[in-house]
Amino acid sequence: MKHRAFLVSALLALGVFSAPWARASSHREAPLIANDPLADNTDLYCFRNPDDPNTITIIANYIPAQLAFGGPNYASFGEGIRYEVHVDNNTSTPGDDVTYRFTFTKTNQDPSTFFNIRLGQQNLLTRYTMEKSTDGGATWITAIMNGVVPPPNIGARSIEGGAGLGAASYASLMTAAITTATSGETVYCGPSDDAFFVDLGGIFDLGDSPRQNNGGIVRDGLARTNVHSICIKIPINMLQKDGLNVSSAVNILDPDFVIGVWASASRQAVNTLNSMGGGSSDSGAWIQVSRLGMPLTNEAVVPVGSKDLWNALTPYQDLANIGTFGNYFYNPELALYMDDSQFGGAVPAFAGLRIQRNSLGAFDFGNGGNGLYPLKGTSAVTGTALDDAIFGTLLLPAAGSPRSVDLWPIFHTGVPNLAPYQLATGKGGNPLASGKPFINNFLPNGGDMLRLNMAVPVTQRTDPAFSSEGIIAAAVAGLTDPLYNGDASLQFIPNMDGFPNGRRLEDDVTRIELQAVGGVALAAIGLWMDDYTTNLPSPVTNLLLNNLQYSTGVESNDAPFQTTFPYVAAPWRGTAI
Amino acid sequence: MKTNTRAMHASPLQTLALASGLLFALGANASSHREAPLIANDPLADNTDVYAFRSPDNPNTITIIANYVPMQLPHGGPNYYSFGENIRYEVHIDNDVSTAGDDIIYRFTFNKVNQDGSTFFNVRLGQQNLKTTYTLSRSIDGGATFQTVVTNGIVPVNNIGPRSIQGGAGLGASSYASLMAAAVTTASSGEKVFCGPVEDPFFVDLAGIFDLGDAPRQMGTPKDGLACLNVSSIVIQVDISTLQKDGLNVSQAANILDPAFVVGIWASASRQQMRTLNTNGTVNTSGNWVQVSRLGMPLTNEAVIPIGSKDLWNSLTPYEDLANIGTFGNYFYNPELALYMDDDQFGGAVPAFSPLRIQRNSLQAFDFGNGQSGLYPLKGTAAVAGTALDDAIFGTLLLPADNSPRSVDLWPIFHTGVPNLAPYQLATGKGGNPLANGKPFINNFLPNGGDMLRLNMAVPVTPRNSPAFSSEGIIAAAVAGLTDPAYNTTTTLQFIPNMDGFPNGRRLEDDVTRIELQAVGGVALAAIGLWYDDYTNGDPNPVTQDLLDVLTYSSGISANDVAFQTSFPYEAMPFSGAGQCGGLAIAYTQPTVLPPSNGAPCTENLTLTIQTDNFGSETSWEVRRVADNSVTASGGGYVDTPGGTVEVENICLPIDAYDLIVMDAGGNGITGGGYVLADAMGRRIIDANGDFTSTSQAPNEWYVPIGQTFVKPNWCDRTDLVLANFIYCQGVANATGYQFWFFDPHGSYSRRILKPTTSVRLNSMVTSPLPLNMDLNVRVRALVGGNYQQFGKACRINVAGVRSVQFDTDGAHLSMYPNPNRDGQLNLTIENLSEEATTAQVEIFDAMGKRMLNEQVAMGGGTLNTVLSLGGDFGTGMYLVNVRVDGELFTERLIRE
Repeated sequence: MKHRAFLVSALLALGVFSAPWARASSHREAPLIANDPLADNTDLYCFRNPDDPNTITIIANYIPAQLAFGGPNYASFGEGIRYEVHVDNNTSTPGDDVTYRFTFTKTNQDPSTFFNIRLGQQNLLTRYTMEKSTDGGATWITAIMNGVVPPPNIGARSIEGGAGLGAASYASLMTAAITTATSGETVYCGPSDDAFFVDLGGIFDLGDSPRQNNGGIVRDGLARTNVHSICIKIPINMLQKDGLNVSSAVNILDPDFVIGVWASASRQAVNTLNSMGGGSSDSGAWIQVSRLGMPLTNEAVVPVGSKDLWNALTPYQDLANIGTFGNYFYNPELALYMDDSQFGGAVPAFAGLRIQRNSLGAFDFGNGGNGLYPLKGTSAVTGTALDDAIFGTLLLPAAGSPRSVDLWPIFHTGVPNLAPYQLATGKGGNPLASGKPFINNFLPNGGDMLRLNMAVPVTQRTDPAFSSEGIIAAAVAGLTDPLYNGDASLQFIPNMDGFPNGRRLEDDVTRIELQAVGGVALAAIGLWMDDYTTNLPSPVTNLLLNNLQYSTGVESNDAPFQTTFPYVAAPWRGTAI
Repeated sequence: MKTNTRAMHASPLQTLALASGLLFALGANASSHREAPLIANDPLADNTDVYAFRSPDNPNTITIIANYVPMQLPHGGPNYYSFGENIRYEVHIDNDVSTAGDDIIYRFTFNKVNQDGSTFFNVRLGQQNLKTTYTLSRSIDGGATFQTVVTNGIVPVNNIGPRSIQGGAGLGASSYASLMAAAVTTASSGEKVFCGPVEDPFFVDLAGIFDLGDAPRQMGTPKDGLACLNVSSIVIQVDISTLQKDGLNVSQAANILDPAFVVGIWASASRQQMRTLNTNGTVNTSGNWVQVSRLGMPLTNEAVIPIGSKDLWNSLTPYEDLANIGTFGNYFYNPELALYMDDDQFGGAVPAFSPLRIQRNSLQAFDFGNGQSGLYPLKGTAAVAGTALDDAIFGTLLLPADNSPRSVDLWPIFHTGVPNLAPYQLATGKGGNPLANGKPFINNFLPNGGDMLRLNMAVPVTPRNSPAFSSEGIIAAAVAGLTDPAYNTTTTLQFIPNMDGFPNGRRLEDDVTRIELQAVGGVALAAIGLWYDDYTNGDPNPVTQDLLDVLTYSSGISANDVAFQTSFPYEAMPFSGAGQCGGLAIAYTQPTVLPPSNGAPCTENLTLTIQTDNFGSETSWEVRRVADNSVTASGGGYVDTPGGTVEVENICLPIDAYDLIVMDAGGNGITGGGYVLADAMGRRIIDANGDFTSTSQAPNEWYVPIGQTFVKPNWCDRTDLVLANFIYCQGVANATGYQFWFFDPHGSYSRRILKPTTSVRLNSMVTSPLPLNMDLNVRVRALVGGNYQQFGKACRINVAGVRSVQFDTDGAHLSMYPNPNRDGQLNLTIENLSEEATTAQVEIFDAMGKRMLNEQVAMGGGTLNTVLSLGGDFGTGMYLVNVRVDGELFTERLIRE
């Protein structure tokens, strides 16, 4: 609520704004992986640490919708699975530049009981090994052995009680599980409150988010559920391709500080069930069964017929499969529900989101429209990111692919700090002119990844300007706040470190992505909504206000995050919900 | 908490027990959600519960329910839960000790298709993704051959929410219940079948019990951990004669405990041995089928089998249990749970179980504590001759070895069933000797395998609405058999209510967690006369405090969170994903969606002329766009000067509808002044005096550019008009009517009236008549081709004098045709009626005054225009037609020929 009020008043006060978007999180998002919860990658976060800004934290979550009381065999990381976090930092090297691999083992300390914890002993006790590769997976070093995964937060009798573990508190177990790798990273692997928040029941009932005719009630479908988190805190100079510290960055959008992050889970190709309950044996090549970069990509962009394939690919294979997947971004299904000439009337909850069909009286971004394609090869785009001489046909691949200029780069290449991808501030009404920089996470070395420019300063979580709207909030300020909108110079604007420039735990990615599908990113760079004409005093028209005010109503997590590593909240206690 | 809980659950049992004497019992242990490490990672194949009961509404049949896929969040989209492909879901029935293995097998396999692979929604525009159908095959030769008895069976869609289920953009179904009902099918072999999502009928405080046995919770409120969750259910209703080994009907049973009517039921899920992942996101399976999950008795693998053996247990059939008795037997002979019900063991560590204390010294002779001998010292003695414990009868089944104390109660309850033979009869009639013959109460003995849910189908049904119905199952029957004078005077076999309850089969309502914990606590031993330690052999009343404590024990969750259905498939509808079980409620009010801004160029140049008063600084104004209430122009705050000033504001607006609001901060209008809004040609839109308080705003919006017609100059700007006067407007080509609009520019009055001609008489308005002695504005718009043009320029009038009381409706008269009327179709028209009227009451009376017709007719726009059908009862003659509109009566005569 607070964020919306701020945005709207700022806009009303003056006039303009901006923005980005993207699309993801992924719980039970594809048919096959929904049946393999242990390997189901639910969310990925990547942000510069507020309390330690020389480091980046990457969080990869797995095993969705865990009920905290789901005993007797509470969920945990699976054996026989490779959980991996991949980092790309260099367009000149193919594939991963840094890879972290986590594997888990479980032992029963007391197989004579059906309880998970009894008399100081724990069953399904989980430990992990972390390996690291800095050569694209050719060789690995073991950086953590016998890492501790805390037990499930069963209840006071099991955790603190004398017949249980006799621990001081669950928090103490979590803290004790944090370890430092021999390679220098700080790591936590264990259960946590699911940091994601979304009205699953509403949005998947044919897009009913925010719920209509529901008595003013929306629902966080992931509230009070747990996931398993892999959290890695890494010094920036370990992630930067040349080993530079962030103090060496040329400026706060230095392109050499962009990383692309994605996570995955893989199983061996062949699983053979043994007789007599002897478990199963795995053999064969490792096959990726789940992956996640940008939130919600495979949940709400890729349609059901292609979801399983998408999970099997790496981002580096995305471009080769552009024939299958490209169109889901160029002409996204969700846009059908934000267009009155398509199925807009069928999804009343999205009435505030209406994509540009006639921006500036010239450009049609409706599905099947041409968007900016008519400008291809013209002098209007010379020297911009849309000039074939600069990035080839990456951003204007074909006619009839209107969202190749916004949704596609947000998800698949990152956004360069180059016209037209600058705020309308200073553009003098021409969206293709140079304007005020606000993002640079361009790393066209693969497809779906979460891309973060590590040089962008941190917005403190306690800053009144901090906003779950991420870069949308930064864009609004860059267009309307007199501190920033006086000229096109590069300045740090609060929330430039927010989604889709990385992803902070607090970022309301569902809202941001729906706004993006609704065209807010186009508007930010000066491709205003259909109801804007130069006759109006401000480009912040009603249709743009509708977009900026749009919300699913579920705007924050149900538990406060921690202010220090691992930042995620402690898992819900089985007996406490 | 404990006190409350006991009081709540125990009363019927407790009262009975106190009244007289005893009870008895049984035990078992199950239901199984995520119960073993491997299967917890394979939810699709995870068998959660099995039920089997004689159908209350169809007692010649048995209903068997096998549930799978635990803990489904109702809102778990976009790929909601369902049965898995490449899994064999099977329900197995054993009915004959003389045949090895299963006698009947039902095998379900499922298939999914995407009807519209282009969407990420599960349901859209009548199409469904992951749409699931099933094949049912049946074997009656132990699995050697299978016959397909259902093909293409329907699994209902998930209950996603009203938009997906009932909505036009979804499936457009009349209700979710209708989809469930439509999915019930009859197999070619006669069984009634349902496969689909349901509300999970099991209820248990998972959080409490698995926090080291904290059930009922010693601090905090018990919570049903399976509330608000769904499961995928297979429900089969089978004729008893189909299940009975010799094809007999239940009417042919020798008695209600006829051993020939015992069936053992278990369910399983199997996968092929080898699963191969491909690099394109597809999967292949091959090889032999391997059982990965099974369930017979509830909670066996959840709370009896320890973690080290759970996976093995899941892989075995019941017929392999005896061969593995070396591994599993001791979990029943010396169950882990019993450690927490024995103060010499870990009893002190689990305070929640303190009411449950097993017999360590029953009848001052028998010790059933873990590791003790139980009844083993009697083995081979005369005391057990002829009983079920006689090796000559069942071999070493029930007394296999020393130090296996629970081989006589928990073991048979789970693994063999309980025979109707001493000592397994109620203490009633035993004369204090537990090994003597007593009153029969159970016979589900079928020692042809291990863990199965065993049901004697000959036992009559206890109606669910009977006052005697109890979720305590056979414990309730035993209490009645020992204490109720209707049953406890003889050892005669009688039907006692709830003899059809767990562990003789399992009804949806049975509180198996409670019953099994009571059984581990020794209640079954007590029922047959092996009383608790605080009973001294020979005392008159064996219902001691220890026994009462066991009987009144409850886990705190004793019923399901929703009611069951009274007919097949008995389980409740699955929760809706969009309903109250779909997550944490958050209050949110969606902002109003604004209409598009009007970005057209401003083409309408208006002037607002304000004559201020002495306090010009108090006067301000704004023009708001009606569509979004946005301020498009504003001004004000003029100079304070005696006599005021004339301010002229130029306003340029795009074509649209607007409101003008003039405000006076002093709250006393503009004394002696006023304002005029006019277009570029000087045509007035609003002409207002200064007689208002804080705010002056016309009662309706205005639109620019304005229309063509207007009150002619002769009648414009007159203050001498009286109600009898007509005023006239300028005609417009092709107009079929003219609507005159009289309004107070400050908003207190507004009246529109449609006239067929260019005139209106000022007393025409019966409803909301014109106010007198008030400066009004009049504007007129033409009706052309059925559409109104815009209102034209305004003028000011002031009607003086006393309003006429006569109802001269000025041209508003009732016209009817044809009249005389022959064909029975009568057209009625009245024009120039009140604009506000929406209905007219039409009555027709015959010459004798009898009302022949009385209809309410819709109307609007100041015009009534309708066609009446006169029925055959309208004979030749004269009729009177009355029409009432807004309290005004119109009357005409009708001639029928």
